[in-house]
Amino acid sequence: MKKIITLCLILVLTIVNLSSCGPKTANQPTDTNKQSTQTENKQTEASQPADKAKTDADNKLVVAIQTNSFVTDYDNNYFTKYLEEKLGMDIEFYQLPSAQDEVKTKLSLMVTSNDNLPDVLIVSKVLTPETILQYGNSGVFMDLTEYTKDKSKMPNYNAIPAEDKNIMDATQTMANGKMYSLSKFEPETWNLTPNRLFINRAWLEKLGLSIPKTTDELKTVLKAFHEKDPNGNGIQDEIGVYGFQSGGYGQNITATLMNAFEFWNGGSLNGGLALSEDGKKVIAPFATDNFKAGLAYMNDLYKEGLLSPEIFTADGTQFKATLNSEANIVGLTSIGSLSNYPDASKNKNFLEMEMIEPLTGPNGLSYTPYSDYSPSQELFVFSNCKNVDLAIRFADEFYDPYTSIITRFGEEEVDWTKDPAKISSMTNAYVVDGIYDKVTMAVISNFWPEPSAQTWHNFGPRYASLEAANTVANGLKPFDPEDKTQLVAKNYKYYFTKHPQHILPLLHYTEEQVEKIEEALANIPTYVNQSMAEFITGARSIDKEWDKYLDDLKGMGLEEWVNTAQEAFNNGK
Amino acid sequence: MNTKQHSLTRRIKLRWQLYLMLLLPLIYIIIFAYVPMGGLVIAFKKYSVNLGIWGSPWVGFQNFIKFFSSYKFENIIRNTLTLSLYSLAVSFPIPIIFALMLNSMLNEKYKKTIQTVTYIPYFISTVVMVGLILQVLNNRSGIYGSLYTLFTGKTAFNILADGKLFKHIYVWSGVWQGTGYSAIIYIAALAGVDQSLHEVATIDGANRFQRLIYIDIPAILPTASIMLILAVGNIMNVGFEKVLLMQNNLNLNYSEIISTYVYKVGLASGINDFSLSTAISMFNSVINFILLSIANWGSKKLNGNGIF
Repeated sequence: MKKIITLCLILVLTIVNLSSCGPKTANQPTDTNKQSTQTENKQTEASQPADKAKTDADNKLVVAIQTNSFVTDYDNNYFTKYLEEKLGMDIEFYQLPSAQDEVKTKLSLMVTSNDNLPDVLIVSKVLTPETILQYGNSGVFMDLTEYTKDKSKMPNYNAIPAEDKNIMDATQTMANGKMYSLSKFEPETWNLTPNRLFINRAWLEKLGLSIPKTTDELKTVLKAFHEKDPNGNGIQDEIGVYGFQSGGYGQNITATLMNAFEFWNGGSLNGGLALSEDGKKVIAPFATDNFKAGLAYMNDLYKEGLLSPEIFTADGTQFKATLNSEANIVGLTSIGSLSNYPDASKNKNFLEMEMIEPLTGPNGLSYTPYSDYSPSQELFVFSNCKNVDLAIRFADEFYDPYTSIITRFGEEEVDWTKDPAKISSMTNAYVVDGIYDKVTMAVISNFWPEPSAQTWHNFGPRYASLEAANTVANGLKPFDPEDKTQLVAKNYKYYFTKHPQHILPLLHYTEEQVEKIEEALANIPTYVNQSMAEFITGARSIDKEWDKYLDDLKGMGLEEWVNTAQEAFNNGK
Repeated sequence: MNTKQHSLTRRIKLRWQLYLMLLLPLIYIIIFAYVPMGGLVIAFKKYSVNLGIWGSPWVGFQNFIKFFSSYKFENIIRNTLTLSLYSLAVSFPIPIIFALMLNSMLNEKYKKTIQTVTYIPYFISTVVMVGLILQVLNNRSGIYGSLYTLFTGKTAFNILADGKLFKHIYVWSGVWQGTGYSAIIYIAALAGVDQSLHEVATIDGANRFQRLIYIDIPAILPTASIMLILAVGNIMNVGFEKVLLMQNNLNLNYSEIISTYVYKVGLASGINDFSLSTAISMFNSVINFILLSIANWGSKKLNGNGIF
């Protein structure tokens, strides 16, 4: 008897073990059903008080919004009150989680249950064009194409300058020619070129060297860094080139250096595809001879000990730790955000570094990873929305110039000011550098980095021109040209123009196209990064295995991917 | 037949308390293991969120063919098998040896301390554990790197950048973390050995080592064979989180295993292909099940201990 029970228990344990590995994905749909009933319950609860006040129903919208930890209260919120008053409406919130993947999951659960959906959805950078198209095709989102063209329905949207509006229209239009979203357009120049090179100026001065302009000069400089112990601690611990390949936002120095040989956006958009020189053909830069030459150059640096293999193994913490080690040991790095050096304006290591222009390669190319500014699709209307006119009026209000300022900067004269008397004496980096004449407004409170109930922290559509974004002054701290962390204007001069004339825009694939290239999309970008790491560190020989690399790419469906991208590109034009 | 059923109902009536207790895990398994197994059908379908599990169109074995013809197939299978067989070969015998050594130790206090100390790492979560491994083995800021630089004045070789070393790091860190915990079951089995056997053997003139060979090992053999079968049953389930967290671009050729690939295809790449990942997972489970049956059969043949 005892044996039987023991055996039963063991059997039970094994089955648990066995089954836990298999049908995990299959689990999800069951979960879906369960949770969606919860959603339904919640919604019926929420809609009960609404039934009582049916008279208000005509001017009420249920807005599902991705929450943000910087917003302490949505109902008693300055921006909510402002909108309600101005539009004479009532906003009821349906709060979504704040984490990206949780929003996605929650949304697909809501959609699966399909009834009792809110009226409007506001999320920030959560939905990919493929998902939006899928939801649009299946009738979850409403087709907004007609409304965006109608001046009487969306006056503010149609008042946007044609050049910028075309970009927004292009982003919002899916592969089937319909628009399901309204987007946020607030271009700036700093984030478009995150791969900023920083060289150790203190070491250069100590060794009597000048700032390298070409890749060859860089090699000479790095050699001196490596051999002459410029940090003076007697140990040969200087790293020539340091970065973080799997890091985001400019930390992948292999992409930065590669751009002296071939323009490659590092895989940040369209999986790294680019356009030919005449702007007509879609090409794969990572399968060109120039790319091979770039790899050979980096391999050479690696062999001489000038490029650290830690680029490929470090994680974010180690990357920062190395940049901030007690005695500076980094000669050249590539970063997008100064937050890699905590408290940069006083950071000893950072003050030794200086931002330099992109390097020029042997063929005279000097590019930096760059993607065109692309608006983010933020507002959607669910097709079961009963009061469509109100939803459109609500959506269009976000493009009102004054409202656009409020969504980002808060309350006038509390958080920001346009008062000429106050801003006349102010300036910012762009104005000092002569790129713009004068500042147009100033931020006068510190509400943005602190939790508050002033706005929705800029979630939702918005329009602000490049000029409007670059002529904002900081009213709390006067501009100090000596401050080494004020790099926006320098970045604009050094990096903003360093890209080919024709840039591949964000491609919109149809569902059938995605299906054809899905394996290539999932595998090739990772395979390219992996191969770069192997080629650079000599784990694979560039001479012998380059053809094998090209064959592998072919096997993964590169050709079909490029052809499909070409189709999508032609359709989008 | 009839009498058998009759006797079963009688036995249940007699010991209903025991069966009541068994009911809980049984319900748990039915709800969380058997019911979701129905979802496996999406491995044979082209699953789409709008159409749901049952509405999606059938595609037969297309998903499996896609996986078998994928350029990564060979590589993934090889890595999965290398990692699992290697860790089985190392982490199965070591706890047994460790338990036997602890058992022959005479000083009780010392023995207990060692047991506790080796047991503690088991409670470190995988994420923290991998963080520890990466920090310690860092060739500049880690203990390994700092000591190397201190003694030689040079920068140490970057262990983490060499893909071939991945399996060793993976397996031996696992040994460090798991030995104490896995040894418990053997220590318990050894504690159950009748002391009179040892006394008799001592009188017959057996030394410590002979007693270990002829008394201790046979005593834990049934436990060991059951544990081996269980371990074989899990052979294709190499620790997913640990491998995923330890991956970098230089070791990817040696560290991409079935479960990490499933995760990447199904969730991480942004284009969710639930059908393909289910198909791969299902393939994994089927192989696992076959291996388990073989191990069970072998174990039964050898020493009469099996789980079914």
